[in-house]
Amino acid sequence: MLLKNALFLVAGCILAQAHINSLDELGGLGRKMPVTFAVFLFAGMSLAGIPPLNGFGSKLMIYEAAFEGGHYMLGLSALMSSLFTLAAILKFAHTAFMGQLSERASKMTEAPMVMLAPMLLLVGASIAVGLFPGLLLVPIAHLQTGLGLEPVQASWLGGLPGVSSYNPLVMTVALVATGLIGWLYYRLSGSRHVTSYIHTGGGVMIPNARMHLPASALYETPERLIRLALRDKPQVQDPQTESHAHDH
Amino acid sequence: MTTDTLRTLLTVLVFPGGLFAMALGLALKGVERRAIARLQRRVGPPLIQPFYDLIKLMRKRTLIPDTANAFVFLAVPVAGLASMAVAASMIPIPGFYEPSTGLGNLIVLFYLISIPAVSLMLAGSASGSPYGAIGFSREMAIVLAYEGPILLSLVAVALHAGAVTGQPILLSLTEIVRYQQEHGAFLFDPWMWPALLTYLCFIPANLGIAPFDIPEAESEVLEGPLVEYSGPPLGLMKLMSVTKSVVVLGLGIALFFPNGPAGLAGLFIFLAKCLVLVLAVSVLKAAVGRMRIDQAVLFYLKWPELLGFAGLALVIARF
Repeated sequence: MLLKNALFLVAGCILAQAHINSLDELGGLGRKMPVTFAVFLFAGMSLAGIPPLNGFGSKLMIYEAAFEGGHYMLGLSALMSSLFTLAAILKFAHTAFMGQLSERASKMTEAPMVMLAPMLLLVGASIAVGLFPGLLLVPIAHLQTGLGLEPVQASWLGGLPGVSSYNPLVMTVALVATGLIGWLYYRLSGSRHVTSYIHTGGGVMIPNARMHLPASALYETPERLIRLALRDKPQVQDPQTESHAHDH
Repeated sequence: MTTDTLRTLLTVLVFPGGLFAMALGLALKGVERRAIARLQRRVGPPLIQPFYDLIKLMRKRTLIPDTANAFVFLAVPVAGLASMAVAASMIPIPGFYEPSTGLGNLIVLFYLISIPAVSLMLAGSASGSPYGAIGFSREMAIVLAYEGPILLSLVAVALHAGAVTGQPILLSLTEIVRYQQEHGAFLFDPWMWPALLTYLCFIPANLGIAPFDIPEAESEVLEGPLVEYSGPPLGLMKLMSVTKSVVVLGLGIALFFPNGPAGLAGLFIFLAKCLVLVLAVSVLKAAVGRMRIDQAVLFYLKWPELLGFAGLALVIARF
């Protein structure tokens, strides 16, 4: 709930800055709207179930419940579906926020503070609940005992209830600690950062729009296979007619 | 609580995650390079060449493309490496090391193993290079193709281990290993062979080994997501991929053939098994060329998927 809302607000921020109706009109927004991009990446990765973020904990409990209850196929489909979420999130991230600036995107600026604040609030809440699931679970357990139900296992610093002993706090601490190894490697190297042009294989003066891979060009192979499975007419032209089209 | 946390930190930072896993990965990479060189009748680099490479990359400048998203570009190698260091600490070394419980079970490990692929995709996307974007698109295609089979394989093992220990499903890797040590490895159980074959099929695609090194194809897309990387970030990317090989091979050993003596000998047996697997991988790498992305995706959706379903069906039918 926290994450989906944050994503809606991100979409709202982009729409408020430029009235577009196709993802392909965007590109490179990450450098123009860094805060919006950070919120999108956090909420998106969390939604795709990247540990230790908030979305992963809830997914884990659903999978375990499905497998424990003997619904293997449901559990497997749920596990696979989070992969498709990831694909969608990354596609959006690439087309809107990464790569070359499009004509529309180059005129855009960061959203005003009144639009950023609610998103940051939601992200903050998501981080808090993600790190300390007890924040919600302990009051729920109290309510359950009050109503005479069997309460869920919960403590302020504890992990998630269920068969696994996954504790998001421990996982976060572990990931941050090992992240320090990489950070230390950067620090020790003292490497100088130099801005460079991207490698184009010798091509010069290629307009930005031609260098940005649009949303429709990503994931061609899976898309073609799905169309094949559905016996749909392939949307992707075969290479020969396509190269002809480019020649003219 | 505090001693537990300290122990967990030590396991993720030093042994068997963190530094140990990275050093082991680099050493195995050295073995792999030497083995491939010998198969191609070359002399090959010294065994510690990957360590030299890491130090060399550390002393280079960091080139950041003007179209790149600099923060994401520099942060994803760190995140990928961190996830692999933690994942390595979650793999039990039979008879020698049991992972701490706070980090979670097989499902958590499965998700951690998918983080380096996410890092690679974000890296290619963030670099702003069209080659990187193509690499990202290919990586996603192949991830979508191999993730189904590996899930089927993991679930088959967990269900089997659960059935024989009288639970619906056994997701704790430590207990799967313990069961096999007492009752014999799944490797010698013909009912588990489809699941084992599925796992073996998953290894080359996940580690980016020929014939499935399509996202990072040097000759077509100039190493795809890595095309704009240089210096320390490239070093971290390489470190991430070698650590991932330790995690993936170690998980395979834990799932199907964890048996070994207790104590320090258990560690050496584990290392020997890793070595055998790496040599097998080198032979594969030297023997075959690269597939096209649609061939590889179709291959994974056909055979390993079928094997995975067969493995799962066998396990369910047996009990």
